[in-house]
Amino acid sequence: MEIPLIVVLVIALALFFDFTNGFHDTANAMATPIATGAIKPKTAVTLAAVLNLVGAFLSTEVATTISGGLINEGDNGFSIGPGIIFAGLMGAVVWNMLTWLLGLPSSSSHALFGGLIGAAIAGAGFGVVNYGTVVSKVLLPAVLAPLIAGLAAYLCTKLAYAITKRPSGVSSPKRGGFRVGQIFSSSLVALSHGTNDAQKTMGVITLALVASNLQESGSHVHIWVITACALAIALGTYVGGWRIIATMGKGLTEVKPAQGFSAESSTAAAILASSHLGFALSTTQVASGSVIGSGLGRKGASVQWRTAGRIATGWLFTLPCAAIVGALAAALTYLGTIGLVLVAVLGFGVVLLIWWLSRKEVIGPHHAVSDVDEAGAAVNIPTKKQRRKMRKKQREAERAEADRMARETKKQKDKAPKDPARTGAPDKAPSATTSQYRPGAAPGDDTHGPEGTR
Amino acid sequence: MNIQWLSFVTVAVVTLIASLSLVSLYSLAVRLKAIAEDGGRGATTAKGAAVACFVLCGCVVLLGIYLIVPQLGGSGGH
Repeated sequence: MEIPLIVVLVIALALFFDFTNGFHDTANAMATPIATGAIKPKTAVTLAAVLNLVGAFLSTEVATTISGGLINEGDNGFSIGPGIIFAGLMGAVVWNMLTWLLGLPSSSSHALFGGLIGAAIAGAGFGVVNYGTVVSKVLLPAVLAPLIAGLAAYLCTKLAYAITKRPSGVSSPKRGGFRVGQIFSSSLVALSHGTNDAQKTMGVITLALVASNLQESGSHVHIWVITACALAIALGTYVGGWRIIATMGKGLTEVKPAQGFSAESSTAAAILASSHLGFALSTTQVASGSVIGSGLGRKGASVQWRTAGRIATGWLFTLPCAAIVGALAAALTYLGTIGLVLVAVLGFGVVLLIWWLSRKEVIGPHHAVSDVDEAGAAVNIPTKKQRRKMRKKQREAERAEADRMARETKKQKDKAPKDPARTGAPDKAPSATTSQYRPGAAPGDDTHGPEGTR
Repeated sequence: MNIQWLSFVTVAVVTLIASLSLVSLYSLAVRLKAIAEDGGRGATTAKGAAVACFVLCGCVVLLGIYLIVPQLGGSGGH
């Protein structure tokens, strides 16, 4: 069996994409337990790599979604050649590297879909994409899965704190057990990452094999494809881990163990359930949804809509932008072999350039360790001390106000009998203030504020 | 357009059930362990219950993985 050069190129590029995916996403799973000191960095990274490897073998539903159904094939459809797939992959890789360099939140999964769809459209027009499958298996899961995971994480965090709450002063809640639990919940996230993200690359390689008639349409994913993808993502995870260790302690959002455990359990459950049904979703987005949800489950938390909005905008742009890059690359393939060579040379040139630029740049605060970590910044959680301070400030302000009001009324009362005629002011104004003020007169009263009105 | 709403409902329900049972079991275990560490009456019982909760928690995880992997004879595929 002779394998055409273009198929070899597609496989190489797909595996490179898989590697960057693992590289990019290690932090999502392992940053928190490393940060809380639950697990040694080296152990954590190795564990994540191994679990990604195992996860890649567990389920191939997502790979089937991508290799069959996303793009119309067969008699009435259009048979996409490996050249188009190569162009699409290039679009995804270039866009992924670019967002990584600029520190923009993005999703490698959406970059992949965007690139493929854009290339397919440029290659054969708008009719070639199976929009039904795109909506039901890619777009809707992309919106719903983070919401589901966020809701689950919110409820879990509330529950975890409620169950472990003990009367203050009498006995400490001793929530340290969650720190150890995070080792397991993070491991589950790493495993679920393998079941979803490694599958996407398998799907693309299978798509290329089918497109060049090396594999029958609708058949299962070859075992060598699974193995290669599993190894690539595991290697990427392992290499990516060192980046986290290098940037440790730089602007990591503080996540309490109980909260982290809840978030990770929800993430893992949502991704595993989706993988099983063949939904290709962005693990980063699900994990971000969980982190925000679990943050909101904490006492007195509030969403910082600016940060949340920025993250959401980044997500929105990924698919269309990668589609444009993919389409441009696909347009070049019309030139024939020269076009393909051009795409390959240009693509690798851009990747090398970005890599070179990233080496030059000093790692700054905008290079958050992970996108998920950035999502954590979208929720503002006051610490116990801050909450106490806020309450105290509020009480003081109200007391001061009450004192001021009391003084004023007294002054006016003193004034009133002396010379009511001189000021000429109607008696109404001061009396109105007095009557308005009276109900809340008791200074230092603790029942005011939002809690008191309930 | 064929959107599988039922699948989304399944994902939502499974996610909620799995994560909530996992977290509640683990939280319960953490609390029982805290009680056991305080010592006093019923410390041994609390410790036993905590261990039972941890084990149950692990079982939930294993069950979840078993259900997903087709090779293990769970409801693989769909």
